[in-house]
Amino acid sequence: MLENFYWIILIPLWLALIIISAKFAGYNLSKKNTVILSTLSTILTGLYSGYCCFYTFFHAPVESTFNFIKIGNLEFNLGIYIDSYSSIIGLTISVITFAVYIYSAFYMRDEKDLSRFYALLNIFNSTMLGFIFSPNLFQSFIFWELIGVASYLLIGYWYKKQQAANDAKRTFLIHILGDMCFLAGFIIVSYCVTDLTQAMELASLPFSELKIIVVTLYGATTPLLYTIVCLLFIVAALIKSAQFPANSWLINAMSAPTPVSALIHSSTLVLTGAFLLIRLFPMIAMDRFSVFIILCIGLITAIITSIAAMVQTNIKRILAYSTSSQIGLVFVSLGLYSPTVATVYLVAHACIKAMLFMCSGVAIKLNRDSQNIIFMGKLRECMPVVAICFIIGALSLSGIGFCGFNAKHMISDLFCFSCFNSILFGLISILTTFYIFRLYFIVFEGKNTSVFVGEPYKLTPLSYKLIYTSIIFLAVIAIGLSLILPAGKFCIIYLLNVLTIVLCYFLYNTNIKLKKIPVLYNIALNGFFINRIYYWGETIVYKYLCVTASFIDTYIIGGVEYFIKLSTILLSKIEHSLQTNNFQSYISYGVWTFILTIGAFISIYTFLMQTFGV
Amino acid sequence: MKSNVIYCLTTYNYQILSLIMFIIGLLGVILLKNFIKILISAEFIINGINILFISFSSYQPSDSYIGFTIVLFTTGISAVVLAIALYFLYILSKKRINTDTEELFNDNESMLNNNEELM
Repeated sequence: MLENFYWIILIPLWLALIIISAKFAGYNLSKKNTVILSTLSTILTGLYSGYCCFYTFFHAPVESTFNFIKIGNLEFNLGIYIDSYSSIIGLTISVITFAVYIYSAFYMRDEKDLSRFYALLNIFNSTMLGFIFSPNLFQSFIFWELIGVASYLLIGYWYKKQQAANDAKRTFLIHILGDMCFLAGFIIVSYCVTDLTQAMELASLPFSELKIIVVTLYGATTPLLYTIVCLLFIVAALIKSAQFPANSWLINAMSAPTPVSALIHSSTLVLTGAFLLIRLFPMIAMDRFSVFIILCIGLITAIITSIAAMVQTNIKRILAYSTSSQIGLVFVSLGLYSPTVATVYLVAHACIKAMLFMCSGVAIKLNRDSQNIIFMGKLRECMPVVAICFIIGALSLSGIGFCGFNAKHMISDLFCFSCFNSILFGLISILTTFYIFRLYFIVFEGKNTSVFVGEPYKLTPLSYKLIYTSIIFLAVIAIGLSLILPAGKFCIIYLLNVLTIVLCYFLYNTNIKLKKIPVLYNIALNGFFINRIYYWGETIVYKYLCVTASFIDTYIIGGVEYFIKLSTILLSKIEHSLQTNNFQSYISYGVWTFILTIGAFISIYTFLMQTFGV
Repeated sequence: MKSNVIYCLTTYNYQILSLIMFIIGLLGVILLKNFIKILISAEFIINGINILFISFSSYQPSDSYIGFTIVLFTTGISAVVLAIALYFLYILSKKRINTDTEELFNDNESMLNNNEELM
């Protein structure tokens, strides 16, 4: 029964098409109706994935497919695959999308183009669910691409701003790089498996047959090729999840509207890369080097991005760096051979980070669309509920309370098996606590009082309701998750975290004058110059590309053009000299052509006769 | 010993003769400058072909005269062509003394150019 209702995940897509087509037909849905319809669609998908979640507690994974393309023996199927991973993450996505839909009714209320915004969000929701529930790697790839496209459209929502359009383009281009890696890996695996087994139903790499695929792939490839395949998938995943060498696109993506940041760039889009690795973990776990690479990437990202987040002044950038560092911890748990812990951490982090982004959105709106935290302050007196929810989120993120406490403890149980590892984990944890409570004390407590001077942003009773519904909904889920998950133990890291909060209080809430550390501050403020290095590399690559292109253009294509020009001139001169205006010469041309054609025919005929002989 | 071989004429010899006449006519048409000489070499071509027809008619049954009839037609047509050509020559020679082809056409060209200038 469950597998016959796979069309439910396509409801948001249909809704988006209806909204867009209504707009083209000249009939604009009212803002209220758009919001209500979109919210209903997420409730439906949420109910479906919730039921799937419930179903997979008691039953084996279910698969339902239909044929999409058939080329000879090759069959590529689309459909749905319900197991515990996909249903849990599908439920998470539906829950966050529900909250974000309600929130963006407040945040985007002054937009004229609200229906387009909701249509794009619906498309994103549908593609995301299509990716999560995909039964094989073929469908995963299709939706992997579509997620990138939806993200591009949403980042460039305010496409008339030059900055937003550029950032959308850059983000999309980096995503394309990951897509290429995904495609290359898919083709290699698919070819190796079908070549060895001649089983054409394995060509689209169904996840239900993953064990057979991994074994045949291990037999069909050399160890080096196997590592390369794993690394291709890892590169694809790390680009989508904003990990170390490619984490700069997440910072660029912050020019999107805040609800988009809350939905896509904090919780759902960055989750896809880690989810791909969770799905393919049986394959990657066979190769120890690749798993080690995942671990290294996760650790480097976690440390670098938390250091960068410590000194940022843009509220959304702090949260974006924080996202990268938390997904880095997910990668660490994957590198320690534990996809279940990774899933738990993903779910916990998604709820927390979406909530934090929503709180930051309220702060931005009240501060007249300025994202700089230096000019913010005393938000707690204005919005106490938001402050409480932010504290819940911050405590969870730093691993002191609520669902973050349980999830962080699961990772520390895995990771802290030696003294060095414990110190490393403690460092990451303390840095996390530091930057999130720095943000809290500056924005919500703060010394500034000049913030709300002038014309304040007016909140209607309806927007209060919308904000409180969405944020408290996620806060309740964050508290509820902590009851479900196994409880963590108190250890020394916990104490250090609490001490860090006290330190933050003294640094940012009292009249201590702060000094900047000269070199490190600059490095951290620029995010370890990763974006700059990309820019630098791009300029070099473009320069040499342009030089070679101009060489080819002038000397090869231009040479061919010159040759054509010369030969036409020569031929026209010969032809001109033949025009003698004398009928006898024309007769002689006729005679000569006759002789030459007959002679050529005879000589070719005799040559063929002599060589092949009939 | 005296050789008993009598050299007899076959159709092959006639074909060779027709080929030689054809080539002489062709070269004459291409190379000669005088209009009258060109007409004469055209007659050479036609007569070479006539000889070919007659020689091929020997392959036909003895009561068939198809080759000879064709030759009669071609001679008639060639006479007509020659008559027309001679009439042209007569008109040209009324205006000019020289009948060289090159000069004839060159003057025509100059006439055309003059017309263009006038137009």
